[in-house]
This record gives sequence, C-alpha cells and structure tokens, in this order.
Amino acid sequence: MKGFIGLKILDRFKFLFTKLDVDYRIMRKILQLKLVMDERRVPTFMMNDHPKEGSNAFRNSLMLYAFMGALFAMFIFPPFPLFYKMNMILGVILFIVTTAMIGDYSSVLLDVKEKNILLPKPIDVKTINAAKVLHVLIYLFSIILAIATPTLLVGSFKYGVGFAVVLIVQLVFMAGFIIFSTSILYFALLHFFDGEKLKDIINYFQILMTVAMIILYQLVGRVFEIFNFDVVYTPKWWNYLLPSVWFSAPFSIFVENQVGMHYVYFSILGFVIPIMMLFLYFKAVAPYFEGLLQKLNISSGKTGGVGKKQWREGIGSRIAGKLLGESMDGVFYRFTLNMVASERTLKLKLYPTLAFAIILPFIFVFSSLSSAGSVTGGYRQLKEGNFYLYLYFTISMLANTIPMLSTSEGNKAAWIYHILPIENPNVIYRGALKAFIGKYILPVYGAACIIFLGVYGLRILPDIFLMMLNLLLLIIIIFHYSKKPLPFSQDFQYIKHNNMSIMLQLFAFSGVSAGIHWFLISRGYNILVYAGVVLAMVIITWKKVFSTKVVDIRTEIREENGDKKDKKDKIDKEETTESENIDKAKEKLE
Amino acid sequence: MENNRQQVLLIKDLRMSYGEKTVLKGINLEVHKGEIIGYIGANGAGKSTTVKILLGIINDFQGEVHIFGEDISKNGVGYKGRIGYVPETAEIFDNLTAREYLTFIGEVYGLDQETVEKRSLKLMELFSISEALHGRISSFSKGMKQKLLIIASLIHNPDILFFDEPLSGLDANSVMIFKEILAELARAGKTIFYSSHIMEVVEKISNRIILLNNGEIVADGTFEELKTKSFEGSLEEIFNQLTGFKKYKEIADEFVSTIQGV
Repeated sequence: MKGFIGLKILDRFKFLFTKLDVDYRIMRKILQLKLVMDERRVPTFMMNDHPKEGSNAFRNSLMLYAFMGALFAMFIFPPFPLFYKMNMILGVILFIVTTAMIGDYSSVLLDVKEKNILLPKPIDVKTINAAKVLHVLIYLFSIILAIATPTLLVGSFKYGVGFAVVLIVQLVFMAGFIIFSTSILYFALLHFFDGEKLKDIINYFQILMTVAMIILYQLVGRVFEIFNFDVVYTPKWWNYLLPSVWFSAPFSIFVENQVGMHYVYFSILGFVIPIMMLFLYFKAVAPYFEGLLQKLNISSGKTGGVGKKQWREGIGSRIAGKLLGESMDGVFYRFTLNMVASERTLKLKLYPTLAFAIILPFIFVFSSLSSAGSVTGGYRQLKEGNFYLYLYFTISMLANTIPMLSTSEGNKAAWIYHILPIENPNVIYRGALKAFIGKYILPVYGAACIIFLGVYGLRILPDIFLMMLNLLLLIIIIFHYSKKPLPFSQDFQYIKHNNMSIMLQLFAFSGVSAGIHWFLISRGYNILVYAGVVLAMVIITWKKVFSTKVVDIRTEIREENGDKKDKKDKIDKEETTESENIDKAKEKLE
Repeated sequence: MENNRQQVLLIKDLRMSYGEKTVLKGINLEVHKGEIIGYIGANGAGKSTTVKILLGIINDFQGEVHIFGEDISKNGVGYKGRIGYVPETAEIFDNLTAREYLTFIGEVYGLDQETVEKRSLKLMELFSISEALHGRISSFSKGMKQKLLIIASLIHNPDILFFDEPLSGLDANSVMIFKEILAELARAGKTIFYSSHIMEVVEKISNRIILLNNGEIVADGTFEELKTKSFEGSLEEIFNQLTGFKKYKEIADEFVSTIQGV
C-alpha cells in the first residue's frame, strides 16, 4: 500500500494520540485502509463518469473541486466590496462542502458495517472512533483545501497576506461549522426517523446536490449580470441567519478596514456558533450518536413508516391498473412505478436529469436575452421571439432518460423475468415505458411547458402539442434502436457505455424536428398538418415496435454467464448463438 | 399408484458447454410426480446449469428436455407457470416492499391481485414475517429474505419446484416447517428438486438422490440403494467416495498446522 500525505503529517502528532490512549499503529492502519477505499469510491456528483480501473477517483474529484474553486475565485476581481464577493465565494464553498459531506460522507458517518468487522477484533473503541473522526477530518480538509486554494492564491495576490491569514482562520471555523452542523443534523434525523426514511432523506440531499451543481456551473459566469449590487451595504435582519455572512464579515474589518457594528456582530457569530456547536456536539450528541446508529439496521417494516406511504402508492397504482385493465401491461406498469419510486441510485441519476430537462431551455433563453440590456427589453424580446422552441432541449434530455429505465442497483435480480411465464416480452417493455412516460416524462415536459405558456399564452398550445408528439416519437425511436435490455436488468455502467452515441442521435433528431418546426412557423404555415403526420408516425411506430416479437429474452443471461469465462470464449459463444438465431429465423420462415 | 408414476420431466442426453469448457456431458434423467430429488454434486459439477436449463434461463444446450411432456426448446413459456424456483443467491429487487414484490410475481403468474394479496399475507403470517409486509426487502434479515423467496416460489401453486439451498438463514423452527411443507407438497403430487451441500438434510428429506460429478450423473437411486452399492454409511461418505475425494484428512491437518505456524 502506498503512503498518504495526510498520514505522514499525522505521524508527527503520534505523541498526542499515544497520550489519549489510542493505539496509534492500529489507528493508522485502519485509516490507511479507509483512504485506499476512498480512492476507489466514486463521489456522488461524478457518478455519471465511468471510473477507470485503477484510477484514483478521490483525487480526480479533488481536481474537480479545485477547478470549481478556480471558477469561484474569479469573483475576487470585479470591483465590488469584498464583503459581497466573499459572501458569494464562502457561500458556494459552504454549500458544496456541506452537500459533499452529506452526500458522500453519509456512508462513513453512518457506517455500521465497519463495526461488525472491527469490533470483534482486539481493538479498543477509542482507537476505532479516533480513526473515524480523523477520516472525516482528512476528507473534509482535503475538499476545503482543494476548493479554497485558488481563492487563497488569487485573494492574497490582490489583497495581500492579511487576506490569506483571515481566510485560513475562517476556513478552520467553517470546517468546524460544517462538521458539527452535519453531525447534529444527522443526529436529529436519526432521532426522528428510522433507517429507511433516513436513507431516503440522504438520497434527496444527494439529488439536490447534483441539481445544484449543474445549475451552479451554468450560473457562475452570469451571476454579476443578474444581480445588481449596492455599493453601501445595509444589513437586514435575515442576514444574521446566513452562515456565509458571518464568515465574510471579518474580511471587511481586517482586509478593507471597514468599520460598522454589524460586521463585528457577524464576525462574533461566525466565531461563537461553531464553538457552541462543538460543545453541543460533545455534550449532547456524541455520547448517543453510536446508539442511534443502530437504528439504521432495524427493519422499517415493523414501524410502518415506509409501509404507509407505499400503501398509498399502491392505491394510486391500482387506479392505473384499472385503466390498463388487469392485463400484463398493467402488472408491469405498477411494477415499474414501484421500482423507480423506491430505487435510490436510479433516482439519483434520473431526477437531476429531469430537473435539468426543465432548466436547460431557460438557460439558453437567458443567455440569448442577456444582450437585451434591461429586464423589460429582454421580456419584450422574449415575447416577440419563438423561444419556446428551446423546449426541444427538454425533449432531448427527457428522451435521454429512457436508457436509465433498464438500470438498477438490483440488476442481478433480473433472473426473475426468465423464470416467469411471459409469452411475449413486449408486455414488459410496454408496461414499463407507459409507466415511465406517464409518471415522469410527460409531467416534467408539462412543467417546462407551463412556464412558456405563462409567457406566450395559449397560442403556443399547438406547438406544445406538436413537440410532445415529437418527444413520444423520439422515445419510441430511441427504444427501438436500443439493445432493448429488460427494465432494471443492467448495471449503471450501461448508461455510460451507450450515452454518447444516443446523445448524438437525440440531438440530431431534435435538431431536425426543431428545424422543420421553425421553418413552418416562420413561414406562417399551420403546424397542425405536421402534427397530424407526427401523430400518425407515433401510432404506427408504437404498434410496429411492439408487434415485432423481441428476440428471445433468454439470450441475455448467456452473455452474463459468458462474462465469467474469458473473452475469447465469449466471442465464440456469441457467434454460435447468432448462427443459432439465424437458424431459428429460417425455421420460422419455413 | 399409476398416477403417481406419471412422468413430469424427461432429460435426454443433455450437453452444455461454455466455450471450450464442457459443463454437462450427457445427462439422462426421468422424473415422476411426487418425487423429492436430492440433487447433489461438488462445486462446478453442473447442478445450477442443469436447473437453469430446466427453467429456461439457458437455452443453447444440446439434447432434449421435456417438461410435462412438452419439449421446452420447441414450445413456449407456458410450462414456466407451473414451476417454482428458489435460487441459491438471494438476488431480489430489494428496494421494493415484500407486498409489491409478491403482488408483481403473483400477477405475472396470472393470479388476480386480490388472491395474491390474500395469499401473500397469509403465507407471511404463517412464516411469522407478516409485520414486514410493507417493509423494504433491503431491510430484511437473511432469514426473512429466504422466507420471502420461498413464498414467492410457491405463491402460484406450481407443480415442479427447484430449491437451491432453500434452508440458508432459516431458524430451526422454520426449517421444521419447511421440511414438513416439502413432505406435504410431495404427497400432493408435486415434484421437488432439492439442491444442497448439507448432506444430512438431503439424506433425510429426499426419496431419490442424484449425484452429479463433472457433468455426469454418477449415482441415481434411493439412499438405501446408494448405501448398498457403495458400502458407505452416510451420504456424506458416499459423496466423498463417488466424487473421488479422499484427501480431506490430510488437507485439514495441513490447514491447522499452517495456522499454528509449524
């Protein structure tokens, strides 16, 4: 195992741990193992990337944090009061680091498995806990360091060494604030909710974080265009509630030599609150934390928290079942709804894409309008244009979620499809697609449309209808040309492998559709004829896709088995299956 | 009696290979209604491959497989509606609740929702896990998951059952219930394939034992028949003898001396 810088630094403080009765040698060993595992864990916001075997995921994520930090560090340059700029930068740092803690670190903070491994060994609890705390600290400081270093460099370059000193002090307090507030937050959550609910909440945090990251990227360059800053700052009461305000105030006092009592009050808050939290944590939280952690292992079925919710959904899906009849479609419709609603990793990928599908057209609208100068001018330009055509971006993003339907954390459970007496696998796909379109795709599309309807009024209703039809057509085409893996039967890598080519096809299709659409409206033609054609195509392709019998679903499993054997064998085997399929097809023809 | 000799499964010269590795080298087997078959063999002997072929999970085999008199490679999937399966690895869509999973399985088997729900609740009650009906399967203990898999495999009242280590994780009381269920099912004319590495259990519950070694059937008969043929006292010893494994004592000795640092 290789050495870590963090560990080497730690070695200098060995005496401290020995004094605290911690077995330093063992603690270091545990810590080293944890850091090795970290390198292999892919952080939440990078999950869409394909981690190469042997690459250092943690270091890559730090590079990304540093890159983000470099973007935010640019805030230092515009000629605004430092208080505003630091608010922005520290706010972003606080946000990213906190969400990273919640997202990626929940697994560490809330790990109960490690205890099962470590506690039976002759290691005392103190050593294990010391390793845990240090692990969290190393992680936290690595991220903070990565993200704040650009600001530190740029800021000291512009404002001198004083800036660097203030920033370093503030970063330490911020780290304390983050670690204690997340711990207290977890403590509260654990206190009120049981394991599964807590996992759900963590899941939503992760989704929120991913969405926020996407938006932040988009907004970072435009933030100064959007907000107008007053040169003289007048504090409002709610400013006292913002942590970024507390931590920014000292910069005004010490770097810009601003005097103003509110800066002093803010600074005091930024100093006192982390210390208060420290005491709160060690007095009220830490002694009980481990005990509460055991809750994570308890089956929630007994308490009924999740159960009731699921029951309600059961009634909802029953109504859908009534609509679809007691057909197999209906069975798979309900199955798909239940699966997507409860599959956390899938949601973590799906929801941000859905959110982005709503946001994307508006990002383009804003960047097109930013030349307008004033808000009213921009709005007039918006109203006169055909900006609703940006909804084709929404369409592309939405259709891009279709491959996700075949992925799941529990993809190994897909054996069940093969032992079930399903005459025609089409029912599986049809039910699943209907559920996915009805529950996720159309509502999200509708949400994006409502905003444009607000601007353009009902006159764009036919356009929205046409675009919806294009969306459906696109989904059918994407589905048809995919390998048609069964729903929830693939590892998440599946999306990654297919993503690029699908994306290109999607944008090509959307581009052409948008072109035709734009051509028709700019010439003043009635688009309803075109809509009629697309509608007919949707109906025909839907019928056609589901009337041709899908290649026997059983062929898939063999490929899975083949993975275990060496590659050459696999190729041989695939060739034989192909020739077999051809033989079968010949038999059918005869 | 005549009825009980009714043939439910016929395998003729079944061969299967993954690439160059041959897993099954010509299996011939005839199975009748009401039989409990202990299907045993060393790791990699080809047990799971056989079961996967019978279940229709693997379909590029050579040879003939008839279930309920139908050739499974020619006929559709209808026969699957009369089969129940508990796989060895408890892979399951465990983000669903028990109720959602059972309802899904039952409905695919063609039961109506009300029947499935009534049945699953009743069966879970009998296995004393009914309080977990609305819980996510991921929060279940190993035993609870196993019980759920057993219920899912039986919910549609199948005629042939494939159990692969079905007792893993079950407590002693549940094991007794389950063994009794097996006996009852066999009396009701169901055919049961019971695959396990625990020889004592196989010896007790099966009325026919099939031992697979290197893709071939090396023994087939009742426990008594096997005993007289091989002059060994227990199924475990018969297993050792027939699979040609005699070195267990030497290996064990070496293992222990290694940890003792000799």
